[in-house]
Amino acid sequence: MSQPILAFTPSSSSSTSTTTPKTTPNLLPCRIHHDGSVEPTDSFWNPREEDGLKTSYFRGRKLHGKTLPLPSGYRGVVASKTVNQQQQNQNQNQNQPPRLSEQMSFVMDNDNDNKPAEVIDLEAEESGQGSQQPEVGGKMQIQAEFEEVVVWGHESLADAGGDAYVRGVEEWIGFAERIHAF
Amino acid sequence: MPRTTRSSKAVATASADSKDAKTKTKSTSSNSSIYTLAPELDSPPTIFILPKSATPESRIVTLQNPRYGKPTRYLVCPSTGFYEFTKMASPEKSPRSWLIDGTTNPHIPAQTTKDSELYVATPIDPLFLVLPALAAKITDKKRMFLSSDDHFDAVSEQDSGSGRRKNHLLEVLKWPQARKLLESRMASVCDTVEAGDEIMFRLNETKLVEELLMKAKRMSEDGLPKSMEEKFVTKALEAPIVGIRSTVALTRSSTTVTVESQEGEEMTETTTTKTSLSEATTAVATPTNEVVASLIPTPEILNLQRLRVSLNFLTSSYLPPSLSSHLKSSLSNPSDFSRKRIAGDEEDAFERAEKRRKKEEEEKVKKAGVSRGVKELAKVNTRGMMKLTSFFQKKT
Repeated sequence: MSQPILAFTPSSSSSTSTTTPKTTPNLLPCRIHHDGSVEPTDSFWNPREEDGLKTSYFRGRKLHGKTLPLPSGYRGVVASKTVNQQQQNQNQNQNQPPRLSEQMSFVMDNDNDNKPAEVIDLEAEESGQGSQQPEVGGKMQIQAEFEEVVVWGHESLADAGGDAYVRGVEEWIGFAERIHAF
Repeated sequence: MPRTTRSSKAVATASADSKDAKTKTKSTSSNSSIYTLAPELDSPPTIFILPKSATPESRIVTLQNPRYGKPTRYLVCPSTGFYEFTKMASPEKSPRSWLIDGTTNPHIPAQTTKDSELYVATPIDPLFLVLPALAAKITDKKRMFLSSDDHFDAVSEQDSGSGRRKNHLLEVLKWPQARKLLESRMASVCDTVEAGDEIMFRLNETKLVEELLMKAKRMSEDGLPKSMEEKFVTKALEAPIVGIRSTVALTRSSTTVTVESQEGEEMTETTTTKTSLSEATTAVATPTNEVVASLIPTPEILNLQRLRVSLNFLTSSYLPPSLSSHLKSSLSNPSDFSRKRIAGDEEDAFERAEKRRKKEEEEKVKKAGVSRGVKELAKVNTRGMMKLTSFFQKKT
């Protein structure tokens, strides 16, 4: 149990508005060494569509976009992971086997930060054993949903033979359903 | 020199920016960069493609990978079943990143991610998840019937140090429907006996082979995915003569059309460059066409190849290595596969029938020379009667 059980949860903002926001993930043909917001985007990202062909210029390079609609029965989700604090502690504790001295010591000294977590940990496991639901250790917070992905190629259009992403969406999903039907 | 060009550029962009900014009613300084990059996120967004059939109660859990035995992430829905994640990532030589468009309502900023992974969740037959336990002692002559819990225990390995489970299978089994699903899939490839109120399972190899074959047939009947078909069916069955033909056409075209040889090499089949080139290709192509036609695989062969590719794919990605090699050896060696006679050895059966007929004929000839009394005595059916010798044995 090195990784906790995760649950998909609707975005916090969507609790006020009923629908989850729609977005489109773009797969750029380059690596950007940044995780996070890049607002405002209109100064560098302005894709255009003409006769069904998507083009965009990114830092002076011409990109061609191939739109991959998701197969019916599937939805795209942009989510970010948050792990419960308690579960994190539990994971840290898992690395070393629990020793008797450790379990004894929390009775004697309460000012150690690590020890109260140990107490909760034990209780949580007990309650987890009895309940009918698996214990959830973290969340995948859904930020937005999407119905298509755009794969951008540098002056070329991605195709199923050469591009793993195109192959994955166009071919693998349907094939996997046939393999695993029973 | 570089300094001056750079500063002039900076001024140019600054003036352009200020024009832009005026319309947006934003204040600009003389600084060339008016935007500051937002701080990095601790947990960057991940892109998923999920089946709509998976309910919001679905959980991402860790289970043992049937092929590699390592803990792997799966999506389990309490009512619709198990899903596996397939990770799509860019190879190292062509790095990629996601740019996720922002939304206006509610406002979410556009984001980029360093990694370019895409996780696709597709259904997985739960059978594969318990197969490592069922097939653990495949080579043993005597295998025991075990309860489903014993089998589940075998695939939810314990960490030797802390005694904790390395995966979440036991947690998943708290959902009654998930347990039912796993057990029903086990029953499809197992012999079962009921012991009290518990059902015990033991893997039946024949059932497993039938199940796999059924899957392979389903995979191949409508043709394989295009890229797979090209790589493993068309290429594998390509006749070697085709390669020779194209090289002949190449050398001809390059000699006749000296100026456009570069272009000619690139497109051997298209005959748009020059008349002499097109003549050359057709001249070469016509005599070999008949040969090529006879070397094109028949639909039967194509289907067989597809079936073979499908079965190979199944066994090499979802079965534990020990089981797949065991199945392969027992399948390629039909005499070893004695539990069930395959319909394929009709020839064998025919030969045996022939032998039996000959024997009967010989016996008829023999019997013709025997007297009537002996014949009648021989006819008496002594089956089930006590042997004479039994009268002389000690009574127990």
